[in-house]
Amino acid sequence: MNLVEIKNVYKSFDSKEVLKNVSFNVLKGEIFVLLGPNGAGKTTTVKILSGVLEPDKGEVYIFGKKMSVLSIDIKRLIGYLPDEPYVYSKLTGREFIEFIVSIYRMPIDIKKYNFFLGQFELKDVINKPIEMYSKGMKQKLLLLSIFIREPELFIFDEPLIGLDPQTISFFKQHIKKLAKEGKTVVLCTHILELAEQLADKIAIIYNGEILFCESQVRLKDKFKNQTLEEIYLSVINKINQNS
Amino acid sequence: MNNIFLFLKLQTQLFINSFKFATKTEKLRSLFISFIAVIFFISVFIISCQVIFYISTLPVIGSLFTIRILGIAFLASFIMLIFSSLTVSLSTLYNIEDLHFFYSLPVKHSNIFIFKFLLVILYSCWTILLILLPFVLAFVVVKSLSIYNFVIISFAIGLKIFIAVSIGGMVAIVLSYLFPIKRLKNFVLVFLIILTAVGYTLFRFAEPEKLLDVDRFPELVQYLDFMSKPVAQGIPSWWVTEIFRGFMIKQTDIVVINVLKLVLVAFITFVILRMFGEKLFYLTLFRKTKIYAIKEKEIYGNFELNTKPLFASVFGKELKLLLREPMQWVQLVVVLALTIIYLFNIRRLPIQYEYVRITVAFFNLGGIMFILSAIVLRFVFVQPSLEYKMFWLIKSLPIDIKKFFLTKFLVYLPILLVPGTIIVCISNIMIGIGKTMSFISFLIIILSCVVLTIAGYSLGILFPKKEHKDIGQIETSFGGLLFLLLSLSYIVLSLSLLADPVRKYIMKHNFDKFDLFIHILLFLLINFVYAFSTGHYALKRFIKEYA
Repeated sequence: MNLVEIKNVYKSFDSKEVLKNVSFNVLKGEIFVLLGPNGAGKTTTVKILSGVLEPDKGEVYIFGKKMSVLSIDIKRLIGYLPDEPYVYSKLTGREFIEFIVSIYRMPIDIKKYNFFLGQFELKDVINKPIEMYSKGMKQKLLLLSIFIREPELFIFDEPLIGLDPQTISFFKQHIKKLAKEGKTVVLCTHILELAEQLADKIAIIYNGEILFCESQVRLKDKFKNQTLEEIYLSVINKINQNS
Repeated sequence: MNNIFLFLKLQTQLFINSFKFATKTEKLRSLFISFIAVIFFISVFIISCQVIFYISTLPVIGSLFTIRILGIAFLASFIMLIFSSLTVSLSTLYNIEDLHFFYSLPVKHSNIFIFKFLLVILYSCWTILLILLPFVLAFVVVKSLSIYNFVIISFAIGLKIFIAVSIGGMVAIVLSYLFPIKRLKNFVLVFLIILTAVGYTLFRFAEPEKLLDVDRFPELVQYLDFMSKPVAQGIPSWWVTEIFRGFMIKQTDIVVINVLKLVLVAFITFVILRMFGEKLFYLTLFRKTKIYAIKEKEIYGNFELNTKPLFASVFGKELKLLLREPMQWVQLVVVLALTIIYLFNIRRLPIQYEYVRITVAFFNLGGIMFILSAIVLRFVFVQPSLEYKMFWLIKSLPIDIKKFFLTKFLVYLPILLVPGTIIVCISNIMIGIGKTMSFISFLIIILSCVVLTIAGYSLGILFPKKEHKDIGQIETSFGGLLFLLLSLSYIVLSLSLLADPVRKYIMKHNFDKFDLFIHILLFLLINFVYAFSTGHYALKRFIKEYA
């Protein structure tokens, strides 16, 4: 069952076309990784997917329903982590979580909350203003706000920026666990190693266009068991040479 | 020295690039702001010329009065420069982001300090110069001084600026050495705002216009003596005034003595400043941070996450953010001071006849609406820019964006309704108009509160200042100016539509019901158009672009 379906999406900013005819789909329980160089259109794609931006043309379906900035019911089932973790700096971590909980109106398992609080080592700072947090701590707070809700679809844009090795390891394990439980994950990253470890399906986006979108197993078959790094570099170099 | 030029070149390049790589809209905005600045400069020049010319022609006291005005203007700008450089120094000298970069370079620390201090001078004085320069130019033109005189005067003003900015800068360095920089900046800003508000209110209550009234002095000799006394003699601002006086009465020795005084003090200030820069500035940046043990709250005990309705959640968030940002709530003090002064001015108006009372009450509406626009600019217009980087969160949350806008509107409306209704009620009682007129003006103010809140937030969404160092930059951005311009047009249009019915009421003319209906309809239409058009486009833009 397709949980996410993007059909012929176009998006421009100030007359620069950022996405050109982007199409792909993600199955339920799948970990989908979007790879691409800087400025390729990864962040714009996930922003459209999470209902933060509206496409100029094309359609996005999540759970079979058309997604837009105004789709409240669908947003309730999504957990989105942006590439830059801007949060209200004058709120404390706990107040921020309370705000999120109130907005989603979901019952929160306090045990689970305390588990993630410990896991992300936020116990000592949760009652302090977010302006005192480091970038990594803000990232952890946002991850906490998503994980305690247990949405059906997780959308992460460069989730590992600023995280320490223990948290990165926990993040990878937790993502795998979530996928096993039937949750769907869309992940944007530059880190090929992370993609190789987690991805069920991989798409490479370059200059606003999807170059290919395959399952990792088929991709490796196609490229005769090369590593993901080798595959990625050969594809990008080929494109650069042609252009 | 080479490095300082390299830094200045970098800064110039940054400035040029901000135009070079700007979008068409940004270029248009810059052109518009430059146009407004030029108009302002020319207006100040023309008005100053007329005022100085008029004062100069006054018999006996003309020349004394001219010097006194100059003295006050230079003293006021000197004090303003000290305060402005104090706050600018805290943000420019101690901007950690670029300091990390500069200190990673193989450059002498004193060069970094000098470069930073040059920026402080530039940022501190440009707004003051925009007012002071046309005023000084007007003096030079009216008093027919030569270009040579103007060059010497400009040099003296330059030295005065340097001395004032150095004093502010040195105070900032000492304070930063003694206290944590982040809290200090907020503390200094809050202190200065409260000081300015209280000072201005007390100054108004002292009724300074009495000092210019000859009849209040028992003898003319006493008055002339008062007028000829120097304004703060020991302060460099008076020396600049003396240079002016020297040129006016053609006594070169007065000019030379005061220029020498300024050069000497500027040199001493430079030497002390350099010492501060080399010793204290470096120490302040790299001193060891004292770590205090913080008593932690129990996290696990009695912990419960509260869920609240949407309005309560958003309202709670807004309230917390407002109270925890001192630069936001301290502006309430400014609003309070402005309100008190406004009511004081109303009380002092000569209003004996009923037709005068009604006319004053009518124009009072315009005055109140203008105060409300200023409050909206300070509290409501700035919000989307302050929250800009967090809007990704709002847009990703499962909330109806229209409801979110409505909640925002309900959060900010009381900030306008409370002062608006209080001022209109008190001023109407002071003016002494009838119940019907009081009730109508009350309704008009409530309507304008609603319209200005919607328009203010919407224009904030339409023209956000994404990158800003403080709220002041958002208020003075293109969107802020546009909001003030549109609000002013809205106030003028609204009052013009109501003027005819009010005139007929004063003249005891019979109302043509249809005519009255048309005027009221047009008045409501203006309100609807201003609120709806801005609100509609803001919502559209928020949905389409903000992320």
